[in-house]
Amino acid sequence: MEKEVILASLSILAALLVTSTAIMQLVSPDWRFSLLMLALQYLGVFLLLINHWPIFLSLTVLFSGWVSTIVLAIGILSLSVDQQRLESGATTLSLLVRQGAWRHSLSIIFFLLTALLGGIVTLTMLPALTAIFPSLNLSIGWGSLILIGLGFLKLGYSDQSFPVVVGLLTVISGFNVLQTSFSSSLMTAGLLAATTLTLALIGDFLITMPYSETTP
Amino acid sequence: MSAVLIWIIFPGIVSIILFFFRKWERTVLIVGLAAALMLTWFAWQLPIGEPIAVRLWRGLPALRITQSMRILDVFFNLDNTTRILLLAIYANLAFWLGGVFSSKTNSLFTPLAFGSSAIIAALVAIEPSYFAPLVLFFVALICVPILSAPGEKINRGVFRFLIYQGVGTSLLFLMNIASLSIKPETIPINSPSPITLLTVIALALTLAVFPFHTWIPAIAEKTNPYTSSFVFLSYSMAALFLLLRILSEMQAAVISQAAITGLVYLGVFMVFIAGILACVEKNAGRILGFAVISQVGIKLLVLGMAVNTDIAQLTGTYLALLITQNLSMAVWALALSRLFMVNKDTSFSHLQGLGRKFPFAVAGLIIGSLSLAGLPILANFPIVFQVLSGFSSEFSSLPLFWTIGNILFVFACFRTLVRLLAPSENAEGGHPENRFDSVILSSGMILIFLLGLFPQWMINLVNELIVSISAISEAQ
Repeated sequence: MEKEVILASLSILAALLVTSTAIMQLVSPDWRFSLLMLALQYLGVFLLLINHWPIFLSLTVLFSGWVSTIVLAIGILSLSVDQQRLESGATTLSLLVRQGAWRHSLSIIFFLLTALLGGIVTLTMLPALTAIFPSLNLSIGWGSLILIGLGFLKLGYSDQSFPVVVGLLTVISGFNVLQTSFSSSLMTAGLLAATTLTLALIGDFLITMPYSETTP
Repeated sequence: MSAVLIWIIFPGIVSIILFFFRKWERTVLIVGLAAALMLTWFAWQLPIGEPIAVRLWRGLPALRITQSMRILDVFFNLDNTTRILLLAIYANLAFWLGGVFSSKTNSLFTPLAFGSSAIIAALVAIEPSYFAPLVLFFVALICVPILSAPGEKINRGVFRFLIYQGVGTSLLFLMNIASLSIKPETIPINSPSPITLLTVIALALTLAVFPFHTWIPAIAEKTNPYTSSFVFLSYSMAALFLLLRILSEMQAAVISQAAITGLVYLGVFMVFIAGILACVEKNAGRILGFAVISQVGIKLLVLGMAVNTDIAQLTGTYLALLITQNLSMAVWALALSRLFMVNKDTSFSHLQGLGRKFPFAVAGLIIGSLSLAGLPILANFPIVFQVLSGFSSEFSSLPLFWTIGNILFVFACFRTLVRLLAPSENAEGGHPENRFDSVILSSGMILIFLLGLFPQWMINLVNELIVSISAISEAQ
């Protein structure tokens, strides 16, 4: 009984963690902060997963997420400062910052409002989701839907490699959380971890390739 | 020895080795081509589960290829019925590697094309099949570097491809495992369940069905046409294998009505919409992209034949279509890639007048595109005619929409021809047409005409192949 209470509290904490990290990722133009939020997001995903999966299986997803974050960091660190700003999609927001603090605040308010909209949509979809999958825990449902929703928003606002890959990793994390409610096999964990790592490697390729002058 | 070792692990290892030696492009290509041809020949000749009398020395026991291998808690299973698919996968690879010398693809093409074929073979083999969508996502991921040239800005179509496939395959995997945990009595009989609807959306994302098709023309616009055509055809082949696996696992009663009718209408709709979009297009690369959408539609029509025909005939038609589509698309893509190399652009304004300088390339472009449009005496016509005539009695309006779509497509081809032959300063100066490219293109064009005029050659070959392979599986 005590274990169930701990797990329930952890899943609520995890849902709050993934929500706040996904919002921060949406708002922040800084790639370092985005990657920090991505690493924390994987911690949240891990806490959500332990509701359904044994800890060692959940750890594979956590470690693959953290390794992916490091792979992306290595990729973007290999670029010059200007290229880093361009690839991380920070140029639009930095332009706003240079034009005046009030415009920057406005852009943050805009992103927060869209995140709020994403939250409302998630809240309205949650009963439908639990109707389709009755065995689904509410915190897991919320966590997965908010990751998918805010990940889509991030994808919608970006046309640069780094934010696209981070957004896609967020969306796929959301799907992974839902998938773990139905399958807890070793192969599922292995394939999900491999997907995350390969996507990060491809992301690294996409970030660095435009600046490569020699044969890849 | 295991079949999985031969057709999945070995090509995977070859792909990794070729990747590390990619700077020696010619050597890598020759080794890759030889390995692809060898795997094709193995798929054709080596029975799975039967003793094979290869005696290199006295006392060597007869070889026997086992059909399954267990990795973690899943099985990879390749039996004799899947040999025809393995043959299609590796013949397709060998065919496209054959044109790499002329098309100037990037150095990653050969190793990654090999890797993608190995993963497609894994998609066919993996059991339980609900893991197959995740394997398909690996195919998409490995295709991304093929589509991105070093030193150039990443095409937005590549981002869309990555996003659509990431979302589509994740959703499909979720729906597959979720459907296993739902009791059949809770599924409503008269209305489609949310799981069915979400599965359809996921399939539409992976198969690039309208309105999720936008990544295809966006990629075709900016990428080397030969590279993009290989990715489009190989990826659509993998996605259709996945669809085939999903259909084969659904209950017969569900397949017979809703799924098949849906596939047939969807197929014709894709041909129709691709024709409309192509005829107003001003970029030859994007027109090639719309041709890919149209061809996926025809492949869906072939799958729709599943109800009225036996599996051997269906496989035969699918293989014959695969041959004619690959041939026509390769000739078109090779010709367009020759023109693409002049200005790194396939818009009409940049291609104007190039027809006077590259007559073989223009002839290849037009003949390849008209063959895909299903014009008589060209390679695609006999197969498409056979498919459509099978449906004309049951779905009377379908041939009409198919014809309108293709007439619009032919119109787009002629618009391209007019711009290529129009007078322009693009036609002056520069290097003339390469003789080797002209020979390759001419051979492709002659083959298109021969298969259009004598389709029985190809059909007989395919039927013999199927009969020989199915005889072994029945004997087992």
